[in-house]
Amino acid sequence: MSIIVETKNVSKSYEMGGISTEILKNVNLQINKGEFISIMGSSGSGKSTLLYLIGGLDKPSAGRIEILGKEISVMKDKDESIMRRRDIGFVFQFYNLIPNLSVEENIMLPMLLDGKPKSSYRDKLDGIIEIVGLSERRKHTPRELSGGQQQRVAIARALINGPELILADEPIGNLDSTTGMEIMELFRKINKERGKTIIQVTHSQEATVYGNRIIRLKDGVLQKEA
Amino acid sequence: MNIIARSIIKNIAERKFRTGLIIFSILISTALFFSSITISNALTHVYTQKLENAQGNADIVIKNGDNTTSFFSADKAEKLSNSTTYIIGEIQSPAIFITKDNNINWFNLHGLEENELEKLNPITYVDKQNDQPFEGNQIIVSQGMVDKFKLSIGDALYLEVNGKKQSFHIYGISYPVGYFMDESQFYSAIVPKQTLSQIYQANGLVNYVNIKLADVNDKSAAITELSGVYKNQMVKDPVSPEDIKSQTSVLSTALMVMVVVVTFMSIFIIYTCFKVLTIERLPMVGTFRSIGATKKVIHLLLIAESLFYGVIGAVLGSAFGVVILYYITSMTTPSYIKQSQMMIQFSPVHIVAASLFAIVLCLGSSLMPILKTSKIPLKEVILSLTELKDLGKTKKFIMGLVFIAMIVIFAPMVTGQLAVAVVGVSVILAGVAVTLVVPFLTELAAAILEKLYALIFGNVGPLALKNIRGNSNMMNTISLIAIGITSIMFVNTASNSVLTATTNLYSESSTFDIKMAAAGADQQLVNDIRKVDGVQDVYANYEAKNVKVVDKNGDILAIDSVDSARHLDFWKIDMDGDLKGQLKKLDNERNILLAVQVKERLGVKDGDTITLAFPKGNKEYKVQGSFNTLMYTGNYALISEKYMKQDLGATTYSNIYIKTNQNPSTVSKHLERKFFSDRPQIVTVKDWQQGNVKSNKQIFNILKGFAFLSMLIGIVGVFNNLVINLIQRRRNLAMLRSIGMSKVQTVKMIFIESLTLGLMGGVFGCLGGYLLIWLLPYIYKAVFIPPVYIFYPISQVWLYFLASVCIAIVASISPMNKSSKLNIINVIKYE
Repeated sequence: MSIIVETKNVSKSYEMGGISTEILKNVNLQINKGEFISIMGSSGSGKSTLLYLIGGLDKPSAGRIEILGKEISVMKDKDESIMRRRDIGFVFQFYNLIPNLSVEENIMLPMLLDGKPKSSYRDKLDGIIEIVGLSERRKHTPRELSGGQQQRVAIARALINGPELILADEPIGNLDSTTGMEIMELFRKINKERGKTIIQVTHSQEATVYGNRIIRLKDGVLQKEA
Repeated sequence: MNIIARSIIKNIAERKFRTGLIIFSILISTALFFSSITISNALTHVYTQKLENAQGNADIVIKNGDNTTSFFSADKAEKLSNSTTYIIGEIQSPAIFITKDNNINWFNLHGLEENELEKLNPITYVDKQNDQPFEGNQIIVSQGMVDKFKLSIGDALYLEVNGKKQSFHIYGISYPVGYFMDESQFYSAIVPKQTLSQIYQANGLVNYVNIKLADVNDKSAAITELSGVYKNQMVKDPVSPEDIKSQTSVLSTALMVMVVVVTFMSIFIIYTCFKVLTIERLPMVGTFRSIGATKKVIHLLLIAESLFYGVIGAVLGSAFGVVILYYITSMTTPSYIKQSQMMIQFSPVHIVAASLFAIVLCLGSSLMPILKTSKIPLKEVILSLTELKDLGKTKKFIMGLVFIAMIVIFAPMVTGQLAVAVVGVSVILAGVAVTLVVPFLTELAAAILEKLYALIFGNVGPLALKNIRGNSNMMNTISLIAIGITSIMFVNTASNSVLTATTNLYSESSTFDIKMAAAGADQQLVNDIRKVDGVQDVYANYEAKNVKVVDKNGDILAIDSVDSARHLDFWKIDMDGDLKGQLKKLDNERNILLAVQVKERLGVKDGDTITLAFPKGNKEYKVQGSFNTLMYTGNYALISEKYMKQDLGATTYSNIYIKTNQNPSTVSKHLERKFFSDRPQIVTVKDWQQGNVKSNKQIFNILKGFAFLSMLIGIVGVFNNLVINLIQRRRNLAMLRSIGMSKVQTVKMIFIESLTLGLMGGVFGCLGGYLLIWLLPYIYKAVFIPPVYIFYPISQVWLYFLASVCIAIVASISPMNKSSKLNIINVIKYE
């Protein structure tokens, strides 16, 4: 199995009120292609920070992070953005959809940013909308959708460019349990059927069931896997 | 209550930029309001002072009618001696001083004795011959004059008076005050009355009488009484309040129009600021409401906040208003007054009025967003589930169209006094209509432009367009730019059109080269003028000024006589039909041709009869027709020479029009030289135009300054909106960055948005501008200004576009910069 994500001695600290606080301490991690990882830990343990570092949304204070063999922490903004468009898909707890764009426009955003012509992704868009079960709602705006539906749009957006890696930050944290499980089922389907690597940050023990490996963080330190 | 108030005070302090913007908007509006209500008084004071200084401190003067030089006795005024402080007879006379290089310099000689001078208009000497009395061939001149001709005390000065060369000796040199204050047209000089009397052989008679009353309240009674005695002379107030009012009212009316524009923009800015501010406060309001604060308490506190802005704006606005007032007064005050005693005039009432304006403006604009909070259910406020709802864009668009339709229908329909109100409301409605149609038309334009943008800018282009659609901050930005462009375009067009029309007044409406007036201008003088080298043809007529229309309670500023055989050789008349026939008809009976504005103002139609108060009694004239003219801003009429002579009792011509076959400037010099003893006022059409351009430009520059200030408010508003917009879009921008939008793409997207805002602001601004320009003839008509040819700004449109795009792009530099430094995680995770 090939390694899709590798962190080497990654540390991250923030200055707050003149005091430096270390959020992550020497995190070494390898994630293989096709895995479905759940990162768990108490509040402030650094799990979301680790996810954002992997996604290139933040830079580590020390150490290196490689995605698909490329070191993301030294990349220029343009290359980093291209990687986020093509190789990574993000799903957030609060969906983060653009309210004035329709479902399909929200989903198409990464491709639009990649400069691809509309005709090239029309079929793909139909397929993805079908997978997330929003065929009837494609012209609606996020305001007109339930929380679960909005999260499906976010997942579809994460998938549209066919990235190898899906990063999900507490994807069901804002949903009721039934809807949450439906979303997790969708993630499992994507992982199994499409072979996508998924890393999710979660508080929910039930959500970890859908994954195949759990990584625990405590006070910024990676705990030995059980 | 204290805690809530403290929390709001902290919010005010934290939101420095917005607080600053609200206060700045109120400040500018208040300042403009203050200056427009005070300017008329201030200018009146300046002009009164100017005339008083030039005339002395007399309350009443008696002088010859416009063009006569005869002498009369001052003794007849002595019947009022019990109620006067002084009655001083004076001899006034023109004189010329010819330099070695043959240049003619005009002097106005005041023949007064030293003790009379002391009472009437005391001299402040720079230098004086103390050892000699003021008599014989002594002369007092100004410092400016001696400096120019390098003269000093005791030097000889040769002047030509009454056709003879006279030698004078400089007795005193005066500072540029009193009679010597304004020497822009001719020099003043004082000589002993006895000396002038001998030159003219006046035998104790005078040609000017100055009277100071013991009680100034008796003025009108005294004027009436003296008019009965001096039937062949003019008895009048040296400073006519009506004349001054007419000089200052144009400017104050124009400033009021600007106040309407600026106030409208301020309302818009304060309203949008308060809307955002109220939305931001909703969570806080929710928290306070959840722990028991009543709606009333919350409203009172928000209103108190608004009041706070209003009061600060009132204080600063009034102070800035004083600065503007000083600036305008200084711009419109002749330099010789400025040097000595320029003062600005305002009273506490003006300050109170301006302050009330500021407070009402602020409270009024903020009340709607504040009251809207009360309509939101408490649960939604507490959970921050709501937004302040506006009318939908389609409803707004329809309302905007209805407003435009109302303007187009009603403005041309209404005439008379009602027109001022209707046109005023139309101007405001036009501004409101622009803001109402912007959202819908922007949406439409965005849909149309999508493909073009994709072609030019790639996929980020349509995305930027989508961001604009439905974003209220961006819509407000477009509206602000549009209103700014509308007002600038309107003011520029209005001023340029009037400027061009008045500049070309004589060249468009006449065919002569020189206009001349002279004392005792009889047929002999006209014949003599014909003989002057370079004169091709001459035509003279009579003019009656300020003629009361007895039965209509109005007046006509000037009525000219017409010699039907010659008038059209010198004048063009803008009138349909057989012009020559119309002029000939004037001779048949007492017929009058009125300027269209006079006809409308008096509310008369062809065939009606009006009664004119002429010196020879009230005379009935039949309205024969009307014509378009800019002469005397359309307050003008024509009657036949025959009846003018009878009714005015005039024996000398008022105006002489001369066609030349040489350079008019040279001919005018010949005329000056030849007829100097007749005190000719000679102006070539070209010089007249230049003078007119200069004086009009002054007023229009002030107006343009005001339009610029309104644009400035707009620009600050645009900056504010774009910054607020960035704050509200941080999450969206962070999300776009998280899914792969690069910093360059983010900046590009914001740039495209700004470019579009600028372009749309420009388009809607120009459309709004054209709407107001279309209204311009009705505005002119409402204030009885004659119709002028309106120069629609076609070639300058690109400049307005450029300005509008530049404003939007410059305003977006800060948001672009901030967006590229966005901390994605902080925004996504915590906001």
